Amino acid sequence: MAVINSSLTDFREEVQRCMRCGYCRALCPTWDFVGWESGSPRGRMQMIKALLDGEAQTNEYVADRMYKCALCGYCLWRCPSGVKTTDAIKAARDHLVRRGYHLRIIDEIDGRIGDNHNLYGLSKEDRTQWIALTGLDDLVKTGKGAEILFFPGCVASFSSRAMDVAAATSQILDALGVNWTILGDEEWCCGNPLLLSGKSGSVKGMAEHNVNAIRRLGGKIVVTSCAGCYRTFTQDYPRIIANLGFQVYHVSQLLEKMLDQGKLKFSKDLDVTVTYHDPCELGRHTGVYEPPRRILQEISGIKLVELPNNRFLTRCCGGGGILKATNPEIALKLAQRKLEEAQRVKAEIIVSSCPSCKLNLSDAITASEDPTQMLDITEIVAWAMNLKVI
Amino acid sequence: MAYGRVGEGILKELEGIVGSEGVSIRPEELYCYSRDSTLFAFKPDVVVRPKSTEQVAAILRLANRDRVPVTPRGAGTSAAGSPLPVMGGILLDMSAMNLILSVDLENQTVAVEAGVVCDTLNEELKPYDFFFPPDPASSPACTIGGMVNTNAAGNRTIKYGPTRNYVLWLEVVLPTGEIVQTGSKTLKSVSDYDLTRLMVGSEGSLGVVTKVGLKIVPLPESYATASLVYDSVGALARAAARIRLAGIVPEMLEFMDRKTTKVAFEYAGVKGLPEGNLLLVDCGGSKEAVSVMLKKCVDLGEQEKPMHMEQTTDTAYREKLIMARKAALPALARLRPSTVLEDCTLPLSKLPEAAAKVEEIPRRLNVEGLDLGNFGHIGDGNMHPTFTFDERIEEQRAAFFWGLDILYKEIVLPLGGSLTGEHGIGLIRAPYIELEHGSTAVELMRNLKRLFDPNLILNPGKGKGGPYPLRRE
Repeated sequence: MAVINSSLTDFREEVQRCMRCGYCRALCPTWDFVGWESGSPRGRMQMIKALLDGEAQTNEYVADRMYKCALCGYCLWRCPSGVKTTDAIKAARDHLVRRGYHLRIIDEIDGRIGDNHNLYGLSKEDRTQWIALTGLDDLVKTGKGAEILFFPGCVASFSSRAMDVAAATSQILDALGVNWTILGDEEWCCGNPLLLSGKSGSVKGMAEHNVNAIRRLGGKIVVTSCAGCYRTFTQDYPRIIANLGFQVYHVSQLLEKMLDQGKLKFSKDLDVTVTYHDPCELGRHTGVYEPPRRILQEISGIKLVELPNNRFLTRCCGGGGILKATNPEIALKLAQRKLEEAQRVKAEIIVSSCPSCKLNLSDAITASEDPTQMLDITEIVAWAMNLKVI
Repeated sequence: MAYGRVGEGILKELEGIVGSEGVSIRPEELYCYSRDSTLFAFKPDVVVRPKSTEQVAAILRLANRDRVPVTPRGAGTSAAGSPLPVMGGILLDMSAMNLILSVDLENQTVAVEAGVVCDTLNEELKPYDFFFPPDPASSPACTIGGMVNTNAAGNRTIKYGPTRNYVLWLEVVLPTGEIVQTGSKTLKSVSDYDLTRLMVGSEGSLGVVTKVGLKIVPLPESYATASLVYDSVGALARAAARIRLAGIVPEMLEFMDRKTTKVAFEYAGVKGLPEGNLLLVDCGGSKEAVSVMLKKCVDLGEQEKPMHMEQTTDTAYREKLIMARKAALPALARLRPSTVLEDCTLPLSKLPEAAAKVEEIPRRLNVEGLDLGNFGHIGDGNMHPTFTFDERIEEQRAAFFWGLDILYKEIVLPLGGSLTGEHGIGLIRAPYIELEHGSTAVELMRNLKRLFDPNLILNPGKGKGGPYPLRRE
């Protein structure tokens, strides 16, 4: 199996191939908050080259620049030379951690996940608190065998402001009459926050735990409502475990399938103008752009308006790349920019497909005292199905 | 007289001018600012990010007083070495001066600070159905200040001409610290020596451009695009010549050779065309006009028997084709670790001959690992032969420089061409400028440089005002 925590030296040829054309600077969401060349993707590639060539030292300044990246993948998609920018930056973060120059918050995140197997450091019993929100406790039979396994992830399980995503997903699954279950308190963090932090060495054990637990319940299809979990299950787990033994769907993909089969039906006319924000880890990282749009277009009364930069051109909302933990001010400013984009297209509701996007964009809406509403795709579907969570 | 060093005293004065947040001597920054897209590397002593013309003026007065070299830089996308601080000193990063100051639709002009990015300006103008036509491949990143200093041109030059045609006035800080405004805000003026045009293309050697007044023009109503794929570059060049001779002026008349087309299409996701040399014809105007114009272009192109021809009016597909063409240079970096492009121009009649000779260069050099891709603005005689190699291997690096000699001394100049169409002399072409212009003209340029910059502090060591430290004789 490929090693998930790459050494910086593995990227020597990648950074050499960067011919500094500057295409990556254009829409890099964080560069203009730094301004200096070292804060651009091109600059980060040059700094990695400098580290490898002994022209720069591993230090706090390098760490500051490497952690001011949202890992949104715009530069990766944009790079004509095919430089694996985000992998190189993740390797640089691993390098910084190994040398002890990472940010203190990284140790906190690592500690929480290491001790309690979740991003928030809460007890494992708290992982299923969201079930109470459904008002239908008997619907969720933790630990039973089932073909479909819903993996809500840490944010939708523990954050009171994102639990609606898990609740809405479970109600939709139930209303659709599918045979489904959850891991409950056996669910561990997927490991994504550690992959993004530079602590990727710890992820193998987490992947093995989750995969084994899913296999034990006989899960054939894993459904995530979190874009980060989806990316980790589909892109990173296969690098650790050769054959997962199950398929992985983002909930929007499953719902689109149900729509095609005529099983997903909407009963409510919503009469709202909606724009869709592509989560970086669902869009650019894994190529899932259309299923959420198709679902929105099928809901009666929704007028779907696109943001000026959409699909692979989407600007990160600041909710990813652990930017919200390492640089909360920049994360909030990015969300405010996104909100301004939504205002320009006169959207009443921003819909996304990731609880982390929901949290950060909700923070921007609160800070701006803006009337725009922020909903996850599962919440607006539940609303259109007239389910109780909304 | 030697250049002054950037010591503690100067650093404190610089911080006094722009604030400590606008000055860096961090080794990581100095490294990042030591490169553009050539293979040269020169570190500055300090990087300074001014936010106003007055700050630029104060920095230049200080530098001139102590004879400290100053190298202006926009986005660092130069393919000539122009923004590299050959003599160290102050690197003036102009990207923080990035305000669009005014959009005056009534007078069809805009005023911008030098650090505004080309595509950002056009995004701003798009809702008004106007645009600033020069379209260098680096348009997603390059700044208007950089475009002025290189007289950048790009894909649409055949119809609209280079940056020079759109610059009405400039605010410039002279190396001695005075602020001057050249030109006029009106669309026509001959009330001065043409200082504006002197500044355009001067590669940051005569003054630091801080603000720019530009003409803008209405966007075409619609586009139609054709891709013609030829087996040989010669046939492609002859097809382009037929279109030019017929008096048709398309929006773009661009080409990429076989190697370049393959990697550029791979990047942009263009599928379904056979491998070959691509002639891209893009026509703009009213719907009726573009249809007629494109048909004529295609008819003429087909006389040279392309392997494949297709037409499109699909906006998304057209954008993909243009994206592929614009990304040709960095896409070639997929092939080898180092990619360096050239910028020669040729009389239109000599293009087929030149293209064939350029294609022969790798075979003549006969060094394993060194190859060449070719692409460019064939409609205006501008080719970008691009060497792909590994700069870390001495034999390949030496062969690259030998390849430059062949390109310029044996092909471009004997055929009546010019060293550079839109990138400038910089460092890379400095050894050849006398061969094109003669020693008297070069001395005149040096004297002109001294008139503006008596202490030779501004972007020294390269460009039209030399001296040229990279001379290899």
